[in-house]
Amino acid sequence: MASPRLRTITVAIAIALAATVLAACGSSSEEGGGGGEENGPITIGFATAQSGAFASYDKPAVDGAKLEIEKINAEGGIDGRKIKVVEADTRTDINGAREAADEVLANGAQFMMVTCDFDYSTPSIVEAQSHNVVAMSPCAGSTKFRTDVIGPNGFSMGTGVPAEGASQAEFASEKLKAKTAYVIVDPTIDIDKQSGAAFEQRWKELGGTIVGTDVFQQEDQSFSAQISRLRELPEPPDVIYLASYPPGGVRFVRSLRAAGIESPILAESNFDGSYWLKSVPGLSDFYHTAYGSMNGDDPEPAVNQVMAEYTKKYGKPETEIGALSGYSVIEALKRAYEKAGTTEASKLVPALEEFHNEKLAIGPTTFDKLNHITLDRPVRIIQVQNGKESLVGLWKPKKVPVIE
Amino acid sequence: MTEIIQHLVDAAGLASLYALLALPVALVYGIMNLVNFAHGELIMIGAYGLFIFAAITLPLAAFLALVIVVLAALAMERAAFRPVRGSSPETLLVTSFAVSFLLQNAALMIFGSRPKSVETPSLFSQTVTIGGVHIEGVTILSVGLAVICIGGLVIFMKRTAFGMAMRAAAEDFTMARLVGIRANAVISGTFAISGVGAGVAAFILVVQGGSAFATMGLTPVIIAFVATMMGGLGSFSGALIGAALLGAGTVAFDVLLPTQLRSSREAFVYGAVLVVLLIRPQGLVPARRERV
Repeated sequence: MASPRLRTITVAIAIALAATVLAACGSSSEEGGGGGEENGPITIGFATAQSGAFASYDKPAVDGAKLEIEKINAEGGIDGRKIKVVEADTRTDINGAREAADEVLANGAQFMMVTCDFDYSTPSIVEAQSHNVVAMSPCAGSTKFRTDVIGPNGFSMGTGVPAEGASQAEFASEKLKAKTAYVIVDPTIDIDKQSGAAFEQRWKELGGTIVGTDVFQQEDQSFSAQISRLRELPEPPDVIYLASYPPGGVRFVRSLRAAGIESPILAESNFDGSYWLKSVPGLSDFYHTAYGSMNGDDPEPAVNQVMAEYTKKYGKPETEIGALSGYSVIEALKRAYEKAGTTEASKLVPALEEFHNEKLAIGPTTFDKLNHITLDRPVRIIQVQNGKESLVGLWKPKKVPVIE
Repeated sequence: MTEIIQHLVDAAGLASLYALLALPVALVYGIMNLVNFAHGELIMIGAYGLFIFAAITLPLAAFLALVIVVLAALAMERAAFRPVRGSSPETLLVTSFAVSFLLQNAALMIFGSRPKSVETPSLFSQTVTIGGVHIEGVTILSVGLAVICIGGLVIFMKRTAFGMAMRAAAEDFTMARLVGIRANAVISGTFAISGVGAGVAAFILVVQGGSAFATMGLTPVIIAFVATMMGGLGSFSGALIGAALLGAGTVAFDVLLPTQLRSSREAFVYGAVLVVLLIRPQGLVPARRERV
């Protein structure tokens, strides 16, 4: 056993070492952030989930972003400044989001790409804001990306989720000729509440009837009560709007079909990617929204081009949402930087806020002084018939309800 | 009337599943004062086992998955819990959290974060209708497996020497050892049985949800823990009663709450659990034993 004196010395050395490391972190974070030097490379920090549940959105987003970064660097950079990347993993953890932001900021990040969700990206955005750095989420869909909610420096390249709910209402009413709808919301995440509300509002505007609403929880082990209530309806609804996400949402769809409820189901882009289809064998009459089609048949050539380049380099992405939106985050940065001439938030934010139907690969993008997310972008409607996905088409919502 | 019977059938299905989740946790607690939060990861291992072997016929896949879970349970006891056996309950609890995190992250590394789809025969995705009451395939499966497992366990505990040793150990571990019951054998055996329970639960969850994913054990283990707490930690019949009440309560609140309040159903269910624990802090059927 070590003598007490030896132990004291060991502890002292450990404290000294820790202090040195902390000091090093402190000094580098002072150097980094806030635009920093204006001539060297532009440092972009990815504070995204490389592990955990959000990795399936964030990993393709990082790869999509790198795809565009390589192109920019090959052409000599943005205004002659090449792009350098620093990365940290949020581990799909709220505290992890702050730590990852601190890490990339300490490594000199002048612009940040954060995770694909409002709640999980907020801590990173707050850190970015305190360093005067702009942070953009690739595919978060919450309309809370507003300057009066999240502050001036947070953006999302995603499509505000009410556009998805509204598009589904219009699609079901016009194309499926549906008159009655049943709305089921999984309130565990905010965007599902928003999309359910948007669907309901738009459905009523279009003259449709809501024959019932219900909720279930992502973690529920049984959906028997929800199914019983659906069965008690005098007639099955023409459509069911399902605001949820996998795996809970998929379990719900499976239970519905197992219970013999065959009404067409409308869902959000959360169901994007065909990985879950085998969980509901032979599924038909299921429609979900998406940011783009992965299979080369998208109506927009820009989407097909990005997907082709992406697939060539990284293989088919788990979700096209991430790949496409990550790519467009860098497109947006390039266009805004060319106007602002700096990454400094005071100039970059106004440049981004000038985007009005700016043509990016992900689609027309609009930011303004209040909304830092595009609210009325067209969506794709993807259908599942006999367990196979196919593109129905592009849907431009005629009216998107304002949901806060 | 049919409506009430329908809700009772639904409640029976959920209560059966909860009982299969709670029993193994209660058994392990009874033997070694360990609330095994890594029990959820045994369920996850079972589900991934089904995913791996699903390509071969389902009965064989189910058997192989069960073997893997039992081996995992034994390995878990040997590697993680034996070294800390006899430590304070806090140490055991923290150890089980560590094992749980480790296994979850290992699964994330191996299988990724996306759920893996497992194809199960359409037999279980059917609904039988008797006199206006709909009974889902998975409900029949849950109730059937729960009856077989609980019945089997009761016979095992009452009729076999090993079962009696387990009961003796649960009542007074030190005394049981003094009269010659081998601690290692009893504890390993208990973990093996908890593995069987986890494997059966995994089968039901996969049939119900059609997928396996790294975090799928989290909610089941919390349900198991709450049910055993409410029933009386370490008590076999208490765990069953706790599971039945929790299952029935969940269905009841789901049925009775108005839509606006339904999204806060968990708050009502766990609020009711709190009330039960305030009135009976030692649970509904406290374990008959003195711990030293």
